Amino acid sequence: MELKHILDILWRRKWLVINNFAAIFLTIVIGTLLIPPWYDSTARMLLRKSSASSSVLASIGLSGGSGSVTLDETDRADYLALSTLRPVAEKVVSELNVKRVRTRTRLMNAVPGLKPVLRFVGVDVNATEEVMTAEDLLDSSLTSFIFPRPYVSVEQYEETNIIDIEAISPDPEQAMRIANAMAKNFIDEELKRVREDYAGAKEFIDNNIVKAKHEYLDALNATKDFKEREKFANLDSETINIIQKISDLKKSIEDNKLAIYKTKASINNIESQLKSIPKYQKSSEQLKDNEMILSLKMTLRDLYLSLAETRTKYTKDHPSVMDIENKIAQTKELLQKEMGKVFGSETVSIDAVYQNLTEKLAVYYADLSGYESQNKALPSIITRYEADMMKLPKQVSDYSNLQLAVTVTQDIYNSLLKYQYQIGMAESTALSNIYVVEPAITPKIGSSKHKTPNLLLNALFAIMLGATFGISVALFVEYIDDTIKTPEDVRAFKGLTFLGSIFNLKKKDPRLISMSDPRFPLREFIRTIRNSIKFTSLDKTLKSITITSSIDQEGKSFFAANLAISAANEGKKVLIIDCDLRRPGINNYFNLPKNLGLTSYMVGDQELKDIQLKSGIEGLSIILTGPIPPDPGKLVESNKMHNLIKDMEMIYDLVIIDTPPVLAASDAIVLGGWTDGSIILIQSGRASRSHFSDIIETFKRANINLIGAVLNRVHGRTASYYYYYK
Amino acid sequence: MASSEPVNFIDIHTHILPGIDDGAKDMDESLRILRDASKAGVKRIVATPHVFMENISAVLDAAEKSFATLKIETARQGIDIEIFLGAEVSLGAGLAEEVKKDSRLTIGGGGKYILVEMPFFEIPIYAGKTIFDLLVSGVTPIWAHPERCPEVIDNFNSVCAYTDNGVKLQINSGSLAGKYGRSVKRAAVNLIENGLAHIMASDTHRAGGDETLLKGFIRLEEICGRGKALGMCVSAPSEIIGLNKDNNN
Repeated sequence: MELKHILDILWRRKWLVINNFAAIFLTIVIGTLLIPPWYDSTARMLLRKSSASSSVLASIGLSGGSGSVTLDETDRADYLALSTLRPVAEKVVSELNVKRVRTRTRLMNAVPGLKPVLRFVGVDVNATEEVMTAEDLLDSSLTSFIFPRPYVSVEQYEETNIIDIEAISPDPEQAMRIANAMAKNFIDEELKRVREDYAGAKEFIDNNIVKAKHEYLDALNATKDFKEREKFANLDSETINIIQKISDLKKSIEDNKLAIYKTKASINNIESQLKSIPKYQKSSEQLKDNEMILSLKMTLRDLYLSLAETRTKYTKDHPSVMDIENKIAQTKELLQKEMGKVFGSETVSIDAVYQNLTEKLAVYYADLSGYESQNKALPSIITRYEADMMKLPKQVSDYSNLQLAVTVTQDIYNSLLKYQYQIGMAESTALSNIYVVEPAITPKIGSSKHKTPNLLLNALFAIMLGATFGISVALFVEYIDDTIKTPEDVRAFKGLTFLGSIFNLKKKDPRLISMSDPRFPLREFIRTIRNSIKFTSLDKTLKSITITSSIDQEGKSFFAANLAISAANEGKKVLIIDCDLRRPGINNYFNLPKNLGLTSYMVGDQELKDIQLKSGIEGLSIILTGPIPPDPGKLVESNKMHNLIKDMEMIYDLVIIDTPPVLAASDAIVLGGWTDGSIILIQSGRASRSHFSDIIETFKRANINLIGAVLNRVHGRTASYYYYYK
Repeated sequence: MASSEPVNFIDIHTHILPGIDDGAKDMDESLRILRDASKAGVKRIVATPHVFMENISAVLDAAEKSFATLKIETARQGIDIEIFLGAEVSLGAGLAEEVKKDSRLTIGGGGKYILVEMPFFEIPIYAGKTIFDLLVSGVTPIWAHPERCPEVIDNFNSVCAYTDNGVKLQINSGSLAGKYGRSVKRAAVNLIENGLAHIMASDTHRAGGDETLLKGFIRLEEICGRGKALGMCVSAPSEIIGLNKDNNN
């Protein structure tokens, strides 16, 4: 029942649905055809952590990235962070000189005559293109659909380590070039970032390696000279031991210097990354002020100090050394936890990238202070050993010093060489961390796969959107529609009899039952209404009836004429009086002289018998309006009119009076009071319920016998039954 | 097989009178309809021309004359069919009074049953009162093709107010064939399945082509079984034309 009802509504409002559908559908389809097409091209990159490079870095105490072999969410988010994309986009824009057509140029092309107007206003009309900014390149706003311009989107491909760089441009060639340039610069940028981690160490090595080499050679020469001059052979084992210890300590200092350099570089790197994200600056300061963190840092530094101390006495595998190393590891863990707390509680949203960076930063700070304290402590230890050495005989002591210089410079030089080699390795392996697996190719012109907009797809979308919108509008209009449409709507009025309905006739259908064949449905409508009228007035015979409506042109003259013909066909003597002096309608149905009628008698000097015209249908006479006076109301509301009706009731079996609409004039009320009853015509879908309620109320107050209502021009499902008779 | 036994149908709703209404145009067409009906097993047939409140006596006078001629012609042509006269009366206010005045409105003039037709678009406000008046004056209204009435299509139970009071429902054989559309067919089937329909008739207007009572009977058998189908096509109609009581055959 509900579905039927909805279908009924849609059928009734089919033109509203069709028009709305057509408007949406055509807009989208024509828009699709008008918009210049644009093309997409995709470069695909794979992110991979190279295990070789990681292990190399780890062996020299450098952590390239997070240090784990597989990529985690943090890393991917890191790569995709806008802060890394913008510099890439900037480079691409400047490298390829990416331009776009100015919006005003497009407007000028689309709207003829706009160019002179803009020129007059002072707009530069000659520059047709403008260089895009990096933001523009990364921004896919709605206007870029209407005015296509190049843009880039970078997305992770599903849950993999693959990143798709999709470039879009009206020029397929340019789309390909942008995508590839983005990929290339993306890799360069990432490499630069990784290399910055080693930069400190590298600089240190480069600065010191030559000096170390010379120092080593000088020391060797000095030893050789001494040996030749003093004929000195060998040192005893105790002296060698002392020399070795001093040498180890000095090397530690050098190592620490390198570590300090490297750590400082890493700290700078991280801090610059953090600074580029303004919302994190505040928490970065909190990190420095937190007491717990400070004390943990101190503990860590002390542990490093004692480690340095202990390492001078014991080997790496000695329990004391291992114990201190364990403590260091525990303290580091505590420190990281504490940092997590600081950010977890005090900063609203810390993303994984940031958390990772700050944790690293904390450890670097701790490490740095550790190295620095060690270097402060180490010289005093060295001095102690050197004092021991001074107690030896002069020749031995001199030789020991020379030997020490050789060992120390050799160690330093060796380790610098080793580092140089390792860093070179790490840098070269870092190259393979990101690489292009699928370079972008130029999409073919006309290939629907890489061309937007796609006509077929948009057409399907247009059908769906159009249908949805059309139906919604129809249902909404139905919802807010207050008009009387169906017999049920009429029946819903309390105290009003529904006399019957008349279906919407077709244009070519006859308008009078006298002109139609016997089985024409209009006859049955009129017959049913007449039977209803008879039924409602039961025993008392109606001598006169007024026919009215709430507003103009609801079909009251049409109904009055047919009702009269129907009564006349039954052998009754019937008269129609057209009292609608504002808009006479009866004359449309009968071929009679218009200038003779009611006013001819009321105002003019025509006899009453002369204005009652024969209609041509047996038993039916008609009084037309006659010439229309300027003030029709006064004429109708006169005693002469009242008397005329009473006189006609004596002559005819039935007098039918066509009156003006109730909302147009008071005539219908006055005439209704002078006759036996009134019938209201309602045109389906025109008269509103609220008006109609007022009318019923007015009739009641005027004490008029409201016979009932007839619903005219009914549409809808039931109307189809009418065709069985055709 | 029992189902293949010939059935002697009685068709109580036809427009076979020549030139009276929108049915048979002339004597020739009337005779063709009768010949076809006879071949299809119809033994008795009631001519029910359309009658309206405003032209009762005129139509019935003409119908009587036409009926007499048709009867003579049928006998002359040797068509084995018995013809009765009735009317399909358009329901109008004051019908009961008219029936009292002119019993020819009832089937066979017997004053017992009257075939009435509702307006095709809605049940009018005077329907209830008019039917009641008929019932209390001892005339049983037979509601012609209720399955075509929009109110019944929407809800077939809307006939109950009438059937509970004794009104008989007559289904058109063409409705079961879908002649008037699927919704009408569904309404007809619903009425039959719920035991609300009493009679089936052909409502024949034209010679040839139309759904015959025989075809309708076969469909009816499928819906409600042979027993009930025979009831609707033979015993109920024979009660209406007064055969069972008079026993004159």
